[in-house]
Amino acid sequence: MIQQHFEPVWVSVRPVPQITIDFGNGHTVHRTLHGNVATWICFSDGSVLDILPGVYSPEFWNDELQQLAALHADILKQGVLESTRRQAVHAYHTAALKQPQRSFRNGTEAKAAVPGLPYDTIVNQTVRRKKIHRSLQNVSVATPQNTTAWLYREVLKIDLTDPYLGLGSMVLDQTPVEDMK
Amino acid sequence: MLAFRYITCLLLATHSAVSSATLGQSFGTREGGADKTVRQFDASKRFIEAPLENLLDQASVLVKSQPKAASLKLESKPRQQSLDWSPPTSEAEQDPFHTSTEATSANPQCQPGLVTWHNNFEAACKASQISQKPVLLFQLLGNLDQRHT
Repeated sequence: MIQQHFEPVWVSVRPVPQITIDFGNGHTVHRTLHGNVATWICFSDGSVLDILPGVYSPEFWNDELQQLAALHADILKQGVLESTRRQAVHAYHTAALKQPQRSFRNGTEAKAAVPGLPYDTIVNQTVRRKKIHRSLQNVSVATPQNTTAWLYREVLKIDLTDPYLGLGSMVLDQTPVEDMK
Repeated sequence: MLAFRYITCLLLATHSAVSSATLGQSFGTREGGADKTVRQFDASKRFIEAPLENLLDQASVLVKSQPKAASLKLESKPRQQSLDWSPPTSEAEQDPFHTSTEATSANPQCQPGLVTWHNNFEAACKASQISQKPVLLFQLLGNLDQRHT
C-alpha cells in the first residue's frame, strides 16, 4: 500500500535512547527508553498536508493513509496554485476539527483502558491529532523543517533539544544515578 | 539449499494432498455404504493444484525478494539521516533510495520492512513531482534499519 500510493522516506530525528538493565543473575534486558514516531503526508514542495502522531494500530493507520492519499489527489485536481492548495489544506483541518470522531474498529475503544496499541491509537487520534489540526489550520506553510521541533515538544511531549528528552527529573532525581558523560 | 527446501515442501504438500484425497475417498465410500447422507469426498483436480499454486506463489515472492535484500546490504553506504535538513549532496541525488545506517553491537541492523525508501526527504519530493503521489515521511527516534528504534 505504501509503495503504491506514496513516495516513502524515513528520517531519524535523533538517536533512540536505550537502556540496559543487568539483573546480576545472568539476565540482562536491553530496550528503548523513550521512542516515538510521526507519519507526515506532504506535497511535492515539502509542505505538510497532515501528520499522524505516534503509533497507531495497523488497520487504523492504513485507513488514515488511504484517506490522506485520496485527499492529496483531490487537492491536486483543484489546481497547482500554492494559494489554492493552502486554502484546501486550511479547509480540511477546519472540517476535521468539527467532525465527530469516527469509530475505531475491532473494539479498540473497549481495549483503550489498557495501555498498549489500542490505547495509543485512541490517544493519538483524539488528543494529539486535534492539536495538529488546530496548528496546521492556522500556520501558513508548515514543513517538516519548521514543524518537527514543535511536533515533538508540544504534541509528543519530547523535547528534542533536551539531552534527557524531558526525562531528566524522573531519572536523575533518584539515587544512586550517575550520568557517565 | 533454499531450492531444496521448496522442493521438499512441494513434495510433502503433494503427498499430503494425494493421501488426504485417497483417505477421503475410501472413508467416503465406506461411510457412504452405511449412510447415504454422508457426502462422497471429492478429490478434484483443484484440490491438489490449489495448495501447490499457493506454495509456488509464496516461493516466487520469496525468491523475488531475496536479491533485493541482498542488494540493500551490498550497495549500502553508511549514512545517518538526521534533523540536518541541508540540501542533498550530489551523491544522494545519484542514490535516491534509502541506504542503511551503521549497525552497532548494541543495536544490530535489520531490514526496514519491504518498502523501498527514498534516501532523503528531498529525493522523495522530487519523485513526488513526477509521480503525483504524496510524500510519506516517517520520522522516528533511532533508525528504521536497526533493531532498537
